[in-house]
Amino acid sequence: MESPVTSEFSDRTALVDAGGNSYSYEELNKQVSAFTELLRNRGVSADSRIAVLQHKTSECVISILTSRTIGATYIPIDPGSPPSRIRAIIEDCDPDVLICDPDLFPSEIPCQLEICKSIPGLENTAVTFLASDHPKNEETAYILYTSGSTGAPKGVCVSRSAANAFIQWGISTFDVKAGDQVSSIAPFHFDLSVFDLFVTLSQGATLHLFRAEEIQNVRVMAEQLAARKINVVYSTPTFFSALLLYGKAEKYDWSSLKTILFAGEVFPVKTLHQLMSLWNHARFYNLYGPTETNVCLFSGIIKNESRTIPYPIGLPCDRHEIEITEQGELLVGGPHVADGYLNQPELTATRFFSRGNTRWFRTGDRVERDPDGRLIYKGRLDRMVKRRGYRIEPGEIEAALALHPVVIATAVVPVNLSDGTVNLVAAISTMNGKTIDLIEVKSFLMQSIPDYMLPDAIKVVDSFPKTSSGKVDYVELQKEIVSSF
Amino acid sequence: MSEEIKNEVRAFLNNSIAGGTASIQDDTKLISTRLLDSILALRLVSHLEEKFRIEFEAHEVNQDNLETIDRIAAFVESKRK
Repeated sequence: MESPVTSEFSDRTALVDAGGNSYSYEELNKQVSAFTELLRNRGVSADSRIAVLQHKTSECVISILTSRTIGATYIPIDPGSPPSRIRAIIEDCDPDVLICDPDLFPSEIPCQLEICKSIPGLENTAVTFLASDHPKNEETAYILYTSGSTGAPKGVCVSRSAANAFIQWGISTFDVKAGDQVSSIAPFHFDLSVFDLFVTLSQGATLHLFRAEEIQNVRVMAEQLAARKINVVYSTPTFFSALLLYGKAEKYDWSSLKTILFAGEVFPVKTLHQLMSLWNHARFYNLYGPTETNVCLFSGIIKNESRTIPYPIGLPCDRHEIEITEQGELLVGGPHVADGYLNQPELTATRFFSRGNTRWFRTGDRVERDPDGRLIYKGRLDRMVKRRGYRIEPGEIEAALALHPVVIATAVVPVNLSDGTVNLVAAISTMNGKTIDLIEVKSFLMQSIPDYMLPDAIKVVDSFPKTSSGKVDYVELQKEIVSSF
Repeated sequence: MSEEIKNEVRAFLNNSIAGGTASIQDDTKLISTRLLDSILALRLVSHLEEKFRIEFEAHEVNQDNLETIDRIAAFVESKRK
């Protein structure tokens, strides 16, 4: 199995962590080799599933690189998830190995620090081997969990060929070369990280690791991105806007920035233009694609001062085809498309299909073509929402909230604010008119869903507007909430 | 003096969070409860900087200084001196 890390450039810096500690390519390759050998001696093979539950550190990078070297499937689990969600994911993916940071041990799984003690640099990494029963010969590179509308997160299985095709696309489309400084903003359970990790480390560039907690403070982030002379940043419009609006980005020298990639949500044009002025040496690209396809369409942004509507999502990546249904839904087929959802053949069959050797996905996004033939994003066909760049199924929040003792029923709807941002409001009907407040709702939900899914506001209601078929009329509910706030 | 700051923070919370500010006391936790998420916290900081003509250092935007209305007022107060 080929190593995903280049063996050239042994003296160059491969990784710099949040504390500023750096690791050369030689060091990184040594540790990956040692960990690979250790795991192989314990029977880990290309058929294995390796769950990775670690903070974003050099150790976590080594775990992921080791998995890919062995050819096994890696499953990165969000360390910020509440324990119950972590447990649900581990149960669903049935891993052979769990690699874990000591502070994240799931209580019922015994994790051992002794196993890695022999590898310098991995002394604080715990490993457990588990009895598992999953199918072999799956050729899956990784499984990424996304919000599920019925309450349980679902795992998107990406094949090795899809992962390799996407990485090759990233390498040939964007000029990342040895010596470039690339930031790792996205957590490893989001597919932006596949670009960050594998494009950077195959080209001899340097990857700067920023942890989830650090990324929240955009003042520190603006300072750090400038000080480290980062050349390439891939993140969400929310992150980039926050750097400008709250991070005092205008204080710093940005002459090193050359490539800005954004994805995950619509970029309000006014803020995008302000950023393009501040970062005027950089080229900006809009990348589009759900986790199920990684990036499948993209466009380079040419600034047009008179433009007031969002820029297009663009044109298909190499070897990808699109189709737009009568309802305006975008279907995408091509080498980056995932295989399907883990353990969910019925759901997979509703969203994925094959035409010959090509895998297709029904995105659920509505699109239109502009006069130049580029695709413009028009909205969703279902209830899925992007808030601050995160993909959220309101159903997942509703399922969690419905478990609260005083809640009879709940419906979560998005509200668009005047600055282009999205808020999530939970409408709640309670038993016997009992009261419940936002603090109570957030604290209850934090036990089962990640922070980024918490609603922004709540509204206690007597009843929900219904459609003629008796279901909740979410559109009407949204209107009622907007007019009441 | 610090009452002025507290009122400003309360007004900000009322304007930014719908349906839940009535029960917020001066010692109610704001950050660890996620009542103030990272974006709101940054907006509050920008607002206070503008209103009271102070500046937070990047590392001072943290849970310690922002966890309660009392702590926020104390921090802003200390910056005004």
